[in-house]
Amino acid sequence: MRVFWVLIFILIFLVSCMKDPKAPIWIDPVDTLLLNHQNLHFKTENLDWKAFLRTEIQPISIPWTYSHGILSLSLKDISGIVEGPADFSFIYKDKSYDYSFYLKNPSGIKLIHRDYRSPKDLNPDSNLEQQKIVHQIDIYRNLKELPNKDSLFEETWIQLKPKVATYRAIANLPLSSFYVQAGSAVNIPVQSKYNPIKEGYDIQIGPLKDRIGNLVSDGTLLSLDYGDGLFSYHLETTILEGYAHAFIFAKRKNKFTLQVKVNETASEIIRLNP
Amino acid sequence: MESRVWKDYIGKKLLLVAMSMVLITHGSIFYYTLPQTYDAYVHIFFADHYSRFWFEPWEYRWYTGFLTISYPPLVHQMVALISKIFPLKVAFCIYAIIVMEILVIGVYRFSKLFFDKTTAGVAALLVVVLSSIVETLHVYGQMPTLTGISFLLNSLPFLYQFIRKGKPIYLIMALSFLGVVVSSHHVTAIFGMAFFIAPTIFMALVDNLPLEIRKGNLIRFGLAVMTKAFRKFKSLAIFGGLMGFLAVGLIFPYWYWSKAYPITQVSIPHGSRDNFLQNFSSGLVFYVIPLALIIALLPAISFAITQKKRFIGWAVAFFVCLLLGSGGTTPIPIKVLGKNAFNILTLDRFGFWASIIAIPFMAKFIYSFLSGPVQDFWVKRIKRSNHFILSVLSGFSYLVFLVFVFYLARFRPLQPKEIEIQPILNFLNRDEHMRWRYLTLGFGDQMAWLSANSLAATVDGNYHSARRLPELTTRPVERLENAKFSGDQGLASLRDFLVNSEKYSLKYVFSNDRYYDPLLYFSGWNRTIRLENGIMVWEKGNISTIVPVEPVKVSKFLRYAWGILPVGSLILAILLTSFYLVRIKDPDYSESPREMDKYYPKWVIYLSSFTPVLFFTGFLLFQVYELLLVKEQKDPVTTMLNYYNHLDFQEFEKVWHFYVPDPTYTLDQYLLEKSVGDGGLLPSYAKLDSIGVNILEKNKDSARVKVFTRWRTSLGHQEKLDTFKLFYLQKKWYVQPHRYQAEIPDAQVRNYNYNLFKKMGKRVISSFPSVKDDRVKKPFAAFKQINFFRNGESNYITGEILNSDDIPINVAISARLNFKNHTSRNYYTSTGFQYNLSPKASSGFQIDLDNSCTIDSLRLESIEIYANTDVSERGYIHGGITAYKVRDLGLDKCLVDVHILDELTTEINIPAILVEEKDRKGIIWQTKLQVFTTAVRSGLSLDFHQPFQKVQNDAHRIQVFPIYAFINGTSRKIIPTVVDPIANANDGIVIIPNCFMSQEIYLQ
Repeated sequence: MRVFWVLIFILIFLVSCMKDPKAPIWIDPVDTLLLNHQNLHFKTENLDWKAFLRTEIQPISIPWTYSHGILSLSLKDISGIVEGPADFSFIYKDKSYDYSFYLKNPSGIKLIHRDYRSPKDLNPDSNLEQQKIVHQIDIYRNLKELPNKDSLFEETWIQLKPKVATYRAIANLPLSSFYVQAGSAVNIPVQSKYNPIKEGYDIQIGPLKDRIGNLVSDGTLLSLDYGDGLFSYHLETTILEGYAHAFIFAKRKNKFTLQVKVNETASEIIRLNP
Repeated sequence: MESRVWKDYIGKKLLLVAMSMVLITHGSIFYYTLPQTYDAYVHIFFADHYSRFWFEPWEYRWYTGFLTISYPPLVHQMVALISKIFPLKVAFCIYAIIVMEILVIGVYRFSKLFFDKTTAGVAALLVVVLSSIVETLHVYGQMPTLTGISFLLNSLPFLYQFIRKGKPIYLIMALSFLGVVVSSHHVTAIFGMAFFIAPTIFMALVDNLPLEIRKGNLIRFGLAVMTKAFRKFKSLAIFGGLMGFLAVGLIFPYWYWSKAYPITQVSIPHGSRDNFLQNFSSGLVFYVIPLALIIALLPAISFAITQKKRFIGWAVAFFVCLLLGSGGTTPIPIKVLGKNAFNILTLDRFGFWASIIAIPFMAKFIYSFLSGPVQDFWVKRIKRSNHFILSVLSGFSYLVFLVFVFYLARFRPLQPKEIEIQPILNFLNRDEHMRWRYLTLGFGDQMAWLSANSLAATVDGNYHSARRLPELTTRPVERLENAKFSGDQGLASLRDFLVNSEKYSLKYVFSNDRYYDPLLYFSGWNRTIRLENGIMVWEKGNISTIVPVEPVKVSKFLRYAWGILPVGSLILAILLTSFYLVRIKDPDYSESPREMDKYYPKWVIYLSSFTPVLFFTGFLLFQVYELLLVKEQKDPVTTMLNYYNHLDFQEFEKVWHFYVPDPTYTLDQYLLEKSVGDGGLLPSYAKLDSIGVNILEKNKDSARVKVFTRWRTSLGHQEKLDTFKLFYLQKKWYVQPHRYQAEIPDAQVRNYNYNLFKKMGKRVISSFPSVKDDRVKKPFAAFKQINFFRNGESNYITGEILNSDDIPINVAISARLNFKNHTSRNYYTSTGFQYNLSPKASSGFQIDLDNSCTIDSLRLESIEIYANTDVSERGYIHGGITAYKVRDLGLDKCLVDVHILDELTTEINIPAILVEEKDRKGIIWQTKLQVFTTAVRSGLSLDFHQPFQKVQNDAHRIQVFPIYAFINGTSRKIIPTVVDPIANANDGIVIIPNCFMSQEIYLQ
């Protein structure tokens, strides 16, 4: 038992006498570090360090070599990164040493033009004014100054043409699409003809156009309300390419009065007579 | 001495045989009967909880969250531990087999308190075949009950020995087993004190008395027992104190929960509380079947259990349990238990305990009948061979009866057919569907199995005691998923959830029962996809994702106590048992007298020998008669009742057999006529609720009857009156089929132009959250009017909303009432609204609010109306050409004559209209949905008349409170109301079609 306590004491003594590893000394410190261009050197004991590059968004493990008391870190394999304040962290067991600097990508990285539009859906019923915000980022999502401008963003308000279409703010990028849609129909032309074979009235409605002259959107609901003095009838149909067709049964050659409506826009009252 | 050794040997052999038979029979069958059980999946769900979060009692997946400390955890934790190696279902089966083996041992040891080891061996064999145990395992899947009783029975011999011999080891052993009982099933622990522990103590006290006192008169005996109890007071007090400490300490979090969150919900009806004489099917399932052998051998049990004074406690416990198990058949159980306990407890468990108490006494008689004094009695009178035949008949009829019990869940299904859950899991896992809650309909207990396999949350659940949502606790509803079985209350509860779905982030419904389709559709739900397993997924648009609920905090100490103590109690019991078996075990319990090997009296022998064979044979014959031989057409009333019964269960071939035999009216012809003339809300989406048959005239060979039927649909009750003519032919009454005049459309082929839309997903394929650019826009909409009305006690908001966009939209409208005390309440549109609108379409809506008393007491300050829109791909086609005429009936009533022509290429299954009452200025005074029961085929038309009650002369439009309108979160102005000439021309009534078409889900 005595031997056991002696061993325990020695163990505690040894543990308490263990020194913390010395902090590595950065031999060639810089304030701004360009990726891919520089190697870093630290003077330190040859310990089993773990080295990390901590950026704003993620830690990256860095390979290192050790020779003659110098620890060399290579950043060659890191092609690009989100720029900003960063740290080197050396970790050995539960000890950690950090070295701060500003991290930048090397020059010559491809830039991407961004053009945000708001709102994306417009129609001539309200207005066609659109906010346009332009900026640039590199492929690693770093915001870059606009060429020939002293700013990161440029905001302009543009008046769109009233022609219905799908446009792209950036060519070849469907995600940047915005849409000029048709407005509401301003009048509803209705034509009817009695069809003796089918015993009813063929109704043609259209072309339905907005105030600019665009054909109103496909799928727009048309309500056909007609009556024969006894019953009120309600028929719904939808527009396809500016026109809609409906058929009103009149087996007994009934006479009707018909009005077609799109929301609050109504056609003239039509008298259906065989 | 030699005889006793031999009997002990036989007893042990029988025990081993019983244990092997449990393994062979129950072990091999249980995996297949498990899916049909009533409770197994609930316990598996709890086990899954512990498997995932052992020390976390908050379970968020049911009822927006509940505490698992509301149920003793041992069974669930043990299954969870086994499930670390085996799949959950297999783990549950392994656990069940282990418990059944412990139960066999428990019954063997328990029976040894009464009789010799051979009888105890027979008792052990009875465990394998006792219908109450078979039903508890294979029909109910109540593993905690079985675990509780298994360990309780094992504890009793130790308790008996402790009282008799006073050795502390027996007390420790008894308490260690009772600890497991407490940790696994609190109800068994509580009632076990009265029905098992008290009689054991009494028996031990009696056995300590000298023989002459035991055989003396009752008063002297009673005094002696009391004296003995007083002398043993210290032992009894120690046991009682420690037992109380264990009962409280081991599951203290449970007691804490029941004190902190007492159960205040409305009682849920249960068949075990029915009057079994009035509701025979409940009596059959909850009393006759589990207690079949007890009923058959009741004379022998009653005789044996009342013959000796040491059994007095057991006799009282047995008869009280038998009485309490009879549910509401007599008023005694409700008086004994009290109304509150009567309405919470499932009383079949009392019958179960009665059957357990009866096991030794049944074993005694059976053993005696097969090779004891009763056998000798019969051999002397009817020869050995006839006794053998009687034995075989009794045994065989019981075994056939037992097979019936095994398949009870097939004959009388408690659960829907097994559902393959993998497609549902895949659906929940993709596209972040787990960010919303879901609801299952028509899944039965398999909803718990789905929950156990997914981390998604549902608003429903299958553990009633834990729920606290007012929509569930204020109504006697078992689960939302089987709401149709809870009548009007159930459907009202379900409707609350489907309408107020935003409140619970309820976005998906998995429906396995089309009964609910009308309610879902008219409450604004859209069908999204039919999964590979046939389950239809319904979705509601514009539902917010789950707002995390703050879990109820349970202290660290309680959480660790809950996670460690129950399992610890089992580990301790195992260790102590091992120690006991190796070091301490006595060869025998006691010197308890085991006499009574005498003849049963003749009347007992006669009754108990013949009753089993008569009872079981009679029971089976009755079942066969009910299934096969019942005269369904013996008189006109019975004929019509059975005719509608088969119609309700869609057994069309059986229905056809009720028609007058006619070579021109074949089954094919009937089905053909049915396919073109039937359908619609009745009977496709309805369940027969009640039926009344009235004979209008009857003579020898013909009759005319009027049949009144009341159908339960998810949209409310529908009533129907039909008249039939019947003929008496070949000793049966037959129904004259109604002459069917098919309406044949002119056209050979129909065509119709649909404008269909497809929402193009723009989301970038990435696990990062979506960004502004890859979201599809929120469509434009506008309020055309919003009005606040009061009509007596009812308050409601009406309005009209326009889809001002160029694409179809799905709209969710809600009203928030702000009160002067800075509180607010939210209300949602119900069935009075078209939720999907074509471009430029508009719909009236109505939001029902609280009653006047509530609103006035809270003092209304302002009203905010919110509309949220989403791009819709379907649901905006609402039906065909609708013609109508309004006839004034006086007293603000009118009759709307409606004519619907189905011009589409699909059948309109439920024709429906939205009726708006408007005044001369165009203000909407009310919006109501009217549905019709008959379907309309493509190209054909339908006429119906609908009475409508106007409210303009009764209701008041209240304009003193400001109304604010918001569309997609942005404040909007309300468009000025315009006069509606169509309404003015039709007495203020405007109708728009709002029909349901079930076939083409790309349309709706």
